[in-house]
Amino acid sequence: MVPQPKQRSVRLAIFAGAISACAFVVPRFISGVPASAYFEGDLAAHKALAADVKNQVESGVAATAFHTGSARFDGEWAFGTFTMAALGLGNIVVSHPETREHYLAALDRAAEELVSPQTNTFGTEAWGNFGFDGLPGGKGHGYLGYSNLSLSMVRLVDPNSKRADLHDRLTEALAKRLEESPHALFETYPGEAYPADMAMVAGSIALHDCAVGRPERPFFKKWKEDFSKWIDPGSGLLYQSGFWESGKPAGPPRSSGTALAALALAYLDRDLSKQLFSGLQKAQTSVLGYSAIHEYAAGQTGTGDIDSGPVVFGVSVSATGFTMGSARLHGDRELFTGLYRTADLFGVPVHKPSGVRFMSGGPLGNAILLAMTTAGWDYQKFCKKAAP
Amino acid sequence: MIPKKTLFFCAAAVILNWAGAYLLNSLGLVEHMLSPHGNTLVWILPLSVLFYLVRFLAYFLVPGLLLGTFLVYTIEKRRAQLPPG
Repeated sequence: MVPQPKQRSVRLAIFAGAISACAFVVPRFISGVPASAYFEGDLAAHKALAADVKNQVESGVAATAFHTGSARFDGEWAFGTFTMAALGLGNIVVSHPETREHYLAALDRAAEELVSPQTNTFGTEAWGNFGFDGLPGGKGHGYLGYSNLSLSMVRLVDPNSKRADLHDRLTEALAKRLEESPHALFETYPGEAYPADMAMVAGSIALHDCAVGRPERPFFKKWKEDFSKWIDPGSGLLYQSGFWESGKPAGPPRSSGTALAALALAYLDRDLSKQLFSGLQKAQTSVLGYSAIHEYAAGQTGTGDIDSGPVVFGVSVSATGFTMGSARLHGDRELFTGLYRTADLFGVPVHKPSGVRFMSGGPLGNAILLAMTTAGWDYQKFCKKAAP
Repeated sequence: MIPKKTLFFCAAAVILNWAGAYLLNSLGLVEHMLSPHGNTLVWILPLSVLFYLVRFLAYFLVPGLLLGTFLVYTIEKRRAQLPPG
């Protein structure tokens, strides 16, 4: 029997109402359930996520996983994978010390890769010399803040690390370069300087000092004042790049760099990290409970690049992923859950007996998600001095 | 009458979303995207687009479709049981 027009419109209204109501409630529930476990530091959830990352690092797959067509990007992504893997696995160990033996080999392997000439080829080609040669002398090589942060994390959980001497010399070199920088910035690559990379350098020095029991370095007071000038007062976001000699911004304030800096500065200064996180909170957007972070400040537009990843409808993959870390650090459960839902929807977690892997994350994406969902303050328990 | 087509569509979307995730994971979606060999992109890109389309349907359409079907079915069944007039 063919429904009467009135019946048909009633049916349509029922379907429209049901679809709208369910779209508002069901997906946010499905995607959001695992977020609680990650936010609360559930060991089983973190171990499941760490399994694939640990395997990628130990098997050496991550070192050769990238073939983007650009040697620099391939190197940076492998470098990023080892950095995030070391941070993520280290975070689990400091929160659950009983897992130390389980992750120590993977942490050691990540550290080994981060100081190897092969992983650092992109930096060697840019500078014309290997960044670890001649330490604690040398200049530039600002990207080494990332490796140093990882070495600091490894040192924290393994004070007798076989790279302790190299770690000390690298830290001293970076501290000297940072102290001598006129505007809190030195070069990552020749002619290129990035405030987020300097936050990583500063955080790595602070975590090193925490691991070895050294008091805060006196130059940090002035450095923090100078660094704060790279924060755009309007948006609260950090300028993505700058001219190290003049102290002038070379690009707009952006969320991807801000999110990384907020994470790294948690090892140096909680308030500075929180200040950057406040900028990220303002840059958030949400649809049906799925949150994301705008890459550019309100009123500004731009395209995606190697830092941000794809920028779609103004939101960036990197900023969204990295902000999860500072949301956890600063206790913003709602934002963390919203961002996790987005990672869950687009990342597509695949559950296996061995653990969880985000299908569209690849080695780098999975390592980043591990580092962001485990970011916390438990490292302070391992410090040999009072926490910052 | 139970709307079998709707239920079949919903079941298919949910199963394809689940199975597609495992299939693309085992095929190494990201690895193929990052290092495309030969004609890999010719099939991996459409497959990914299709997968995400199904995933969005499974998340945002299927629950409401099921609820709407259940409501319409229940209302019409009750109406049919009522005495005429």
